[in-house]
Amino acid sequence: MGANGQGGAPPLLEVRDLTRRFGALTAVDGVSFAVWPGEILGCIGPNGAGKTTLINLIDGLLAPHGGDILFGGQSIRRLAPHQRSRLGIARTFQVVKPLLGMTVRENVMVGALFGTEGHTRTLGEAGRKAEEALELVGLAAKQAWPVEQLTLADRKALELARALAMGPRLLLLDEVMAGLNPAEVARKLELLRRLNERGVTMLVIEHVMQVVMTLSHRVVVLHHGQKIAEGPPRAVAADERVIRAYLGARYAALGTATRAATLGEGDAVAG
Amino acid sequence: MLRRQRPAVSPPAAEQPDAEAVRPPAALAAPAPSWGERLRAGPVPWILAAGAVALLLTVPLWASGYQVKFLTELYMLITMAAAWNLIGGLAGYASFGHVAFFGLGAYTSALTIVRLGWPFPLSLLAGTLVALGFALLVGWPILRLRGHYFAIATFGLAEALRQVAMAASAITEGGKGVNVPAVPPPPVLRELLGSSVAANRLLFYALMLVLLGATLLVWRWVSRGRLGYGLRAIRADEDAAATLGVDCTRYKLAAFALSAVPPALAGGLYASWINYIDPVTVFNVDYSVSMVIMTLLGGAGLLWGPVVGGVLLQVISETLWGQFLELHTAFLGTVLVLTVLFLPRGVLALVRGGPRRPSLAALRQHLWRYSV
Amino acid sequence: MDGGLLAQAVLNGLLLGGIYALVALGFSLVWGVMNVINVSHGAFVMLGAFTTYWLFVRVGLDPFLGAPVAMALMFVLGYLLQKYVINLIVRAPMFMTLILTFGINLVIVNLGIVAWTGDVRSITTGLSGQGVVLGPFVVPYVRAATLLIALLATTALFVFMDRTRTGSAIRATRMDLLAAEGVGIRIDRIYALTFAIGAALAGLAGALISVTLPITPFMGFTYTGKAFVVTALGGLGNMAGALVGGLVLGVAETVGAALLGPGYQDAIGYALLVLILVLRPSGLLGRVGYA
Repeated sequence: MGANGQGGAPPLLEVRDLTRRFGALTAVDGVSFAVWPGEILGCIGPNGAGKTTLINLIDGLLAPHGGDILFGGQSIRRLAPHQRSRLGIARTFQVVKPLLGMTVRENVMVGALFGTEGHTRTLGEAGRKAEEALELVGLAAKQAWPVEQLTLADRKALELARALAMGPRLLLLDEVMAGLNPAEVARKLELLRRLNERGVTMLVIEHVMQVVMTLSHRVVVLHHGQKIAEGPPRAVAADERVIRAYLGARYAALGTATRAATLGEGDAVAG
Repeated sequence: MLRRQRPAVSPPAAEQPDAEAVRPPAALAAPAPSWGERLRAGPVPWILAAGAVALLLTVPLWASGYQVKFLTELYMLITMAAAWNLIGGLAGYASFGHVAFFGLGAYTSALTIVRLGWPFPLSLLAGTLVALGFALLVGWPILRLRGHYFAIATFGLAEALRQVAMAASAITEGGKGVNVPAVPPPPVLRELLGSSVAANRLLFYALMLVLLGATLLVWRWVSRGRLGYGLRAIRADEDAAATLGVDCTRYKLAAFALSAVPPALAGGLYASWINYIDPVTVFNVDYSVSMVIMTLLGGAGLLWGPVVGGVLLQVISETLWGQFLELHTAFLGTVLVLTVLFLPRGVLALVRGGPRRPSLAALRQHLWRYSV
Repeated sequence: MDGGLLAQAVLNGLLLGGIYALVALGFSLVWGVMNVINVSHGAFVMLGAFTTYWLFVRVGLDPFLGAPVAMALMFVLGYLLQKYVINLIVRAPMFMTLILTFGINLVIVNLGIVAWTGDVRSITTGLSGQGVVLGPFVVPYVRAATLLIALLATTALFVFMDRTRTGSAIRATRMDLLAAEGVGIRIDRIYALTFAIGAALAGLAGALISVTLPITPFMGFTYTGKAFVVTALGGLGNMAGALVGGLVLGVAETVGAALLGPGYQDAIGYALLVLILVLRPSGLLGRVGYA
């Protein structure tokens, strides 16, 4: 576990033994990990691995059945979603949730107005914050549009702009790359790196492995709700259990070099 | 938890933009201020509004008693619709029992005047406080419910209140009703108009008009502020609003409590204007219905929606259907059905233009999308 | 309070609850399958009651024989209403269908008042007022028959949903609209059929009400309210829940009325509704779904 080489600073987010069940299915099963300040932690796993459930648990839309969530050393397990947002946790939705009936700018203003505590209180300031965020994600030209008219790619960008306008300390990104073409993916990667350099800590959830591998400092792998691997991208990509989870036992028999290549291609197709 | 429940059939098209709507509207990309916009930004609308109010205030001086009564009632109904537009239009939580606040205001005001001898203005304040207290008390539990449960719960509460007003006859006189003494009009008005009756007519006409104006101003203030942004976010998607930091329950409660005040004041005015109340009239579900219809017909979530819808509804029902008095409710029902089916975003959407302007094609798509 | 009176109140509550259960059965079915809160459900109850009433008064048909006629008429009316009106926006947000059926209710009730005036009517047959005496209790025949029919109707619906092909199609549609469409189920027909069954059950309930309680053209809204309370109590689309919820509501009302005075009977129902919605939104029987 390469989690301890962070110079003694406490983790920004720590998840301890987190568990969530849906009836007989345990979607998240005793998962523990930490996100350190300034870090990009990737979280990957095949469909149904429990990635989105994990985000819903962290941001408070779902209540855990077991375990604890600490943010800045404090347990936030019992806090409502809006209270967690005010502490500085922002997220995007995989299934985008634009606020229908409002313009693009107004959507982002909601984030600026209600985000992190002590962030923005006046409409004018929120408007400026919104414009800044829209500029960053490349939606500035469409700020007066009703959100109903945005394409899916633009709606994904809107999710990000809204989260950014909140002035978050921790950004939870739920498959922001899904459905984008390679050029758009490259631009988005660049943007996320830039944001990270400005000090935004991120937990990036992706189905597309390649994205996470190039972006993240460390990677956590979920499979059937359990953490099966954690570490630097390269080490994780070579992990036997990860390959089996992603591609089935057949691929585990191939050589390491072939495996890496296959992974890359397979993901390009999947993306 | 109820909050997490999803409807068994979710509207299928909410997530993905339809092919036709995705095409970027060129006109929107560079919003240059039009003449209309420049006019709207200046002091012109305020001057016009002040002029309109001044003109409306002179109506009782030249109109017939019947016309004045019609207008006073119209203002009252629109006031309540505009208040409903706060919780129903901005937050998207349709209250089907908003008449409860009208009834509470009317009864509190009437009873404090009759039994405690309070002066009229103080009785209005009492009615407002009681309605406000009731809204906060019941709002906290029922606003944690999702929309349709909320609709039915409010309906149930209003009905329960009506029956309590009927049954607790030791306090409310039950079905016999309460006779409310006429308010002594200001001497100046009586001098000016020659009689107490005429002075009272003008007084209540003016008070209703002022209440309507104040309600519209409050609505405008709310919708443009932080509260309005939060409420519209709640209307669009409560989960998204919560993750953006909106304290949904508190915001809904604020909107609900605020929307209880104008109907309570209207109820207090009504009691002293008509001089008689009973449970059947002041807790009449028709008032709740008219708030919903007027707002939807004009355009929910728009400042002038209830005004346009209210005027349309009352004028049509007065002129066209005046002779079929017994079919009045059927007429209201038909208007409601046709509005929901064919004009779900209200009359104002027809004239507002813009990219979401309704057209026959849009209507066809709307019906295609929502039928099976 | 006298124990004997209380016991009689409980008994009366159970008999009344049978009617509530029957009213709620169709309401809950439509809500569960189509995700539509049919506010005009009570109007169908009213139409069923008046059909039975006029068949009795004009033709001399016994109300229990008139009930099937009322059911058939309401079935047809419900089918047409769903097919040609409600279906236009049946998948719109529930708020819209709620308002739509509210409007339909206003129209039906008003036409009822115009046709039959607002007078309170009731049916008096040879059996009215008679009953079997069980120790200290009196059980009126007509009310006992009503409870029995309510039980039979619930069982019949249960068997229909569980054992027949159409029943499974309705259940499949309830669970997953798109999947049901995908396996070739004609959703439009299933919806119309579901709504028609709901209306027919309302008609049956109305027929039974007409022999036990006074009827007026505006009686319906009360029963829509009761149906909602019962559905909230029993759980959405849950047939056994509708029965249990109906009986619970009936007993709560009669016992409450015996304790507080008859004026509070309906208020107790609504207070119970709000309490249940707040404390236990999924209903007394817990899980949302068919038991």
